[in-house]
Amino acid sequence: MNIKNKLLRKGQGIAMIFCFLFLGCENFLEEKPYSFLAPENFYNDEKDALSALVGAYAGLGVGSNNFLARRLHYLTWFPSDEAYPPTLAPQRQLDDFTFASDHVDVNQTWTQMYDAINRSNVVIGRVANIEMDESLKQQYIAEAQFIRALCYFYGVRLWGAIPLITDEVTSVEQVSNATRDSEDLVYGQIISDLESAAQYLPAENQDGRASLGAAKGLLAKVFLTRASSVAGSSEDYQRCADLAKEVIDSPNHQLVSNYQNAIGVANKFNPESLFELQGDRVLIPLGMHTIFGQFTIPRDIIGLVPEEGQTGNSDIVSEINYFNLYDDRDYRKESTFVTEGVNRQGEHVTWESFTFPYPHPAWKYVDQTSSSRNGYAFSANFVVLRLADVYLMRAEALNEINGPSAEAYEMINAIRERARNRDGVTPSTYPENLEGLSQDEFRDAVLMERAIELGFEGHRWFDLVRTGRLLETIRSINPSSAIAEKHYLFPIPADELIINENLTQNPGW
Amino acid sequence: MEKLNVMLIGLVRNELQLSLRNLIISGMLLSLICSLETIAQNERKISGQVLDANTEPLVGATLLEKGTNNGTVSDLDGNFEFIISSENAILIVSYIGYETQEVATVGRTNLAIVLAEQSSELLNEVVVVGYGTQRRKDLTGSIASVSSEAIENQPLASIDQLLQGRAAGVNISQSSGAPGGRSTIRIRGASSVNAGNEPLLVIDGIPMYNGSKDPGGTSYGTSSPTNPLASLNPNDIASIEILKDASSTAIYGSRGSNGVIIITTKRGESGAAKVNYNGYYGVQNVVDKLDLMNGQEHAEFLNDWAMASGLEAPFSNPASIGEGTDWQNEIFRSSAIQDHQLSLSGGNENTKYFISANYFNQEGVIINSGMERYSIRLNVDQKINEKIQFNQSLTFNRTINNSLPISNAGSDNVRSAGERAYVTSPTIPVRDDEGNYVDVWYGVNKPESPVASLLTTKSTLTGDNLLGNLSLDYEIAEGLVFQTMAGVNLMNRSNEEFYPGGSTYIGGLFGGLGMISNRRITNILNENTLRFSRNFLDHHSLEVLAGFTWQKETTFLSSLQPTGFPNDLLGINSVGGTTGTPIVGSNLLDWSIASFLGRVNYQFDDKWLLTATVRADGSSRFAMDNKWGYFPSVAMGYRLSEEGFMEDFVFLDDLKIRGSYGLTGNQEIGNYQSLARLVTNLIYIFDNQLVSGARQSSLSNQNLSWERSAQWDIGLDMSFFEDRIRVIFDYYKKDTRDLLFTINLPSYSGFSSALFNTGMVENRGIELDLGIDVIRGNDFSWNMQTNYSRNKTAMTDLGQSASTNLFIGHPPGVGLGYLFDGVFRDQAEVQDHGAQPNAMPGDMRYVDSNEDGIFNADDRVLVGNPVPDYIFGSNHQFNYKGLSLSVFFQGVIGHDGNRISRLFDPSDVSSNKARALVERWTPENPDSNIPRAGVSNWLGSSFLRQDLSFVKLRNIQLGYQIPVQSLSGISDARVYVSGQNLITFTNDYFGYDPDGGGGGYPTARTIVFGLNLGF
Repeated sequence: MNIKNKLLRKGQGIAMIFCFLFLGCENFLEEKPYSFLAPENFYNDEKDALSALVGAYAGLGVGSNNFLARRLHYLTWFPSDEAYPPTLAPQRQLDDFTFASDHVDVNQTWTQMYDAINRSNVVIGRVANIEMDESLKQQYIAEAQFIRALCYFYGVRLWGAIPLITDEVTSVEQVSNATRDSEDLVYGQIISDLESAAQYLPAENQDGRASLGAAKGLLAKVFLTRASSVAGSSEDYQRCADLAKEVIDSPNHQLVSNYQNAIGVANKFNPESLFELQGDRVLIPLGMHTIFGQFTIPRDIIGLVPEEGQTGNSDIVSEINYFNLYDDRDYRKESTFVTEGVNRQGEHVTWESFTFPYPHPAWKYVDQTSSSRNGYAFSANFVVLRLADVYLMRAEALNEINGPSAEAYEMINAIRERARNRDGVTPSTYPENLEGLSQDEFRDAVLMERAIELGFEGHRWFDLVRTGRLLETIRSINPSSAIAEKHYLFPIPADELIINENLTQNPGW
Repeated sequence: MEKLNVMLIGLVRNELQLSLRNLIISGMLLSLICSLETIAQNERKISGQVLDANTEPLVGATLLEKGTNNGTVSDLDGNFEFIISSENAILIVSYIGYETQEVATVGRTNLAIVLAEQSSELLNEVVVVGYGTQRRKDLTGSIASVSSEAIENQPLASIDQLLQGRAAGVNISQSSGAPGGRSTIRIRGASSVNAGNEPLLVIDGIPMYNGSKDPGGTSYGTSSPTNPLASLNPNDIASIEILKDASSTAIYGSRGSNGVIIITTKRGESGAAKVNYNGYYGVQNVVDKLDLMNGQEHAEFLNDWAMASGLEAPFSNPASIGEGTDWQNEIFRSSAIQDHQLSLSGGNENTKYFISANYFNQEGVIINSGMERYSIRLNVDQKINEKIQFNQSLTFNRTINNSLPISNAGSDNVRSAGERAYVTSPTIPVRDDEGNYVDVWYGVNKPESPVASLLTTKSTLTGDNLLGNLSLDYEIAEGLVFQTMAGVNLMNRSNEEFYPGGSTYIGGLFGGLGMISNRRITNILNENTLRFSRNFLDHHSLEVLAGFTWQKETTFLSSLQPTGFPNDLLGINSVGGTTGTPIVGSNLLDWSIASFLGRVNYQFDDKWLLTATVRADGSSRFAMDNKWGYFPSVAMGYRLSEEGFMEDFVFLDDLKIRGSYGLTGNQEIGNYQSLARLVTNLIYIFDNQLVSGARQSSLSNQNLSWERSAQWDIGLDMSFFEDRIRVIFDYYKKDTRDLLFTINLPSYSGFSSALFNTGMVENRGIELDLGIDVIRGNDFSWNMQTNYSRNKTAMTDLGQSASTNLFIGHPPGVGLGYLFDGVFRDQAEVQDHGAQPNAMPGDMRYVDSNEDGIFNADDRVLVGNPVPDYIFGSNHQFNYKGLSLSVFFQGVIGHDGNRISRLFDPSDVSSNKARALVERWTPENPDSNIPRAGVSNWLGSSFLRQDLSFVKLRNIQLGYQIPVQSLSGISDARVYVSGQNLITFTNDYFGYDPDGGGGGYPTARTIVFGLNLGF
């Protein structure tokens, strides 16, 4: 045993000598990153500040699979009366209300939303300490506040009360016992962020970045939504109407005369646009692009996509009832739906004989001017907010305050007039101006106008929920639908409840 | 002196066998002998005869005077004579198939030398263990050995395939049938959830993992990873040892918990130079085609589907289509496989060498796929002087894989090679009347012609691998040897892909899509060990080993992905003119590990055995304060058969009880997991300009540390009736704790997951190795080698993980699923059932598991059985004079998986279907339990589940030893025919092969003719 010990000692001694002679063990085992940075040695100058801000913008939907670029819309298009996913089996559970709290889109939207929130928190917290041009610094922080407010606004509408995280997370312990903060608090944060942002955001359209109009328009929508929520306050409609008026009166924003140019596909950052998620597969072959064009182009119809023989996916189609909400004379119907074309067999077919026999809402998301598939089907910006929405918000708010005033009619009729104008060459008489409606009728008319004007732009589910009409709308189409009262909110993702027992589930889930 | 000599010679005789495997020990002993002997310079003539045990003369036995090049060969009558250079010369007498013997010539001129046949006796078999060798009888751990004989002459590209079914407790499954395709190796089950589960490989002393070393394909997932092990030439392998229990793997510490496979390559032996040629050539065919609908059946299905969807039937006269096109026949082919190996080995007392060159070429059974390998090896052992021994191994290989995708990617923008055939409708012809490939059929999604796309796609992965080591042994004092070894493993792998715009779907999307990527790996190793061994006080024997090692690996990756090719002709060979914005990327990674290790082997009276090991590992992958892990083990053995009271059991040759316990670790996680990371590779657009962005991609985890497995093993080694029956039995239980577990973080933190040490997995099971010499005749013999093992894997603790897809008491892979409960016969059944009010007759009925009257996601229950109940392998070797026949069966029983969904999903119109769907529900066939065409409520459910159990006749080999007395210059000649993957028995399995990873690439049945020649 002695010998052994001695030898072991001798052996280890030699080994130790090797170790320290040739390597210096601690140094040898130190992990040196070469292809990424550590947070400690970043956020030093203006360039880093911009990088962090770009990261926050990208958090809204990078990679065509995330948040505003996909998941959020799965979550809101299918469980309303708007769209149907014939080829996407997991998403059909959203459509028929059989999904559970571990549904992939529920989980992904939540996760990606908070990712974007954390990135905004990083900008707000870190950029304040960077030595740089003061006005630029304020603007960057304001942009991050806009992004954070947009995220929390989605969050509070989808889930109700949610944890309110406003500081950069540097360790799990920092937030592991978080609880759900009331809708009141969440709305309060959103409003204070947007009001603060409005002080420093530039008035002109920044081609992809938040502007004053975007902040005010979003804030108008926040008040409109809060008004009918549990956190509502009596002044909300008035504040909505006032803010909407500010945006409408701003010289930076006007309705474009042709409806087809109102959405940001060929005509990105047009005067009507307030905020758009960037998608451009021509500039970037991978990464920032949106899939809505490709997913809404029919699978059978050739000759749409520029490349010979290429077609779309038919992954997202319109519900037939929703299609029928559009009057055949309405310019916005033909500006939204692909209903016919030539199939691979060379036959001219209408949507009733597509492989998936539904109208396809592709015209909203394809760039018909592009000569490549990447440009045609993958480069649509996703318009988060545009002026027509603000007009209809003001109409709705005014109606709620005083019934259908002349100014309220002016708002909704401006939108209808633009539709009548068609392409400016062959104006139509439909839809005619509205008049003589009761307050209830006007309320219905605005909701209907929003459905037609803003269809497939990510508003319908929120509108139905805000107005408390989700259940009746779905039941009127499918009386045996599994929809229930609980579907006014989405479930908190199952994983979150397991990880943090302080979190509670929404009622009914 | 005389007595000592004899004893030493005896020892040396044993050791010589070992010399292949343990140059250190033999080197020591040889130098011992040399130092003891006095050298005389008297030349004299000796003569004699070499005989076997039956006093038959042995023709062509080699006789060599030890320590010289002086030697001869026995003649036709076994006689020899030659001049020896010293009075005390020792003759080394060797003959293939016989024990090599050393014969002292002192005072003798005429010798009758009787060589004993090599016995299969277990006891003196030498096994390679971590950092050394041991006799099997001295083993206290659980180690399976596979000799080169067991795996020779089989037409397989890589060692993992050769090991399938060869050892108890080792479950190897192929991920596809593609040449150079990857395998999954699990030793005693999977013990980790998120860290690696592959065993450590130690090839010629250099530790490595068989993780993919590929540089990566396009961002659309076009390429399939290849198998780096296919770069190792199996013909060069002398032996494979599989270390299973903690006692044998703990010496590899942090990398031991998934088991260790030690591969030792061939080395030269002293004696006349030997030249060997081994070669085979043969043909491969797809084992089994999928049973799919023919043209008429598919047309009828499409008609039914269209009608169910309210559409016009596309085919007015399905019968007119008849058989249509069998797309499998169009892309499958008979293909050649060949292998040629030339080796030269030999040496003298001081210098030994083994040199080989190999060419292997396997064409794939799918058009435009295959693999080639060129390799050379040079292994040299040189004794410098009495004290110093030098050993070296070096091999260089180039592999060229023409690979095809084996799985789908990018929402089916890229389909596996197999899927291209089975989705394509048989209703269309290969080419139209004008000779153009047809790629359009009713319901097509993402069209491409299987034939045109496969023929025009280029996907070539070229790998260069240099693997070598140098070691120096220095005998400091008697029984005390210092060894230092330096090893390098250098790899360059490059990937070139091109998908033409005109003939592939993915290429069509981009006007041609290409990829050029490279990966450069530099792995260096240094090991320093000190070994002391001594016998003392008659009965005690001690070996002590201590060492220090370090290893470091640096990887650089770069890639270029061009699109928008001016034409399809030049492809990736000329990317200068491409017009798309190319995607470029690069990455530099490294890791390092430093270790101290020690082992003590102690034996008392050949009866009591004790092994204790410890290893301390420091890894760069863990947080600063958690880098070091300590992995001890202890094992004991008791050779009951050495006890006096056992002497009555004359039939019992050996009986040993052994037990071990130890800790091993796992560090197979990605690099940099403990650090907070900030990446700057985001891109966004402002004002139609690209801007780059940063984000924090992970939180730091300063607690990240080793995953630890604690393993018990109780074993029994027995042999009976003159070793006719040999049994090795093991029971083990392995608890892996502090799992390197990707746990879900609260997502509202902005981070969704992180690697933590938490949770526990248990593996336990039994292993049985049974060898029987059923018949041991001079002319006829039958030897049987069978292994059987069971392993149960279960999560025992989920720790901090909030996983919703892992379940306590079940292995990873068990998940929640819907239970299929038949098809609604009619509307009345829909109403009776109640929970699916929107279903139609012919739709799927699911079990309302929670009986709440509503069918929804809450009705999912635990389904799946990913771990086989048991596995076995059984090899039978028959010899009759010059004829030999071996038959090898392998079985994996009791696990299940999903059938190919697309072929069984009648709601999907874009694919051909399994022929079974001809019997689907129709108004005329309402009793069918296969859903109707256009079923409205398809969900992935137990409808797809199938048994994956199989028993395979893996290999049959029939050989004939040609008598070569008459042929001058040839010492050995053997011809054989070998058949691989001949028959598979399954339980109604649907797919190409239950051991082939699904439908991506079918496996092949191979028949080759081979020739072994020795000169």
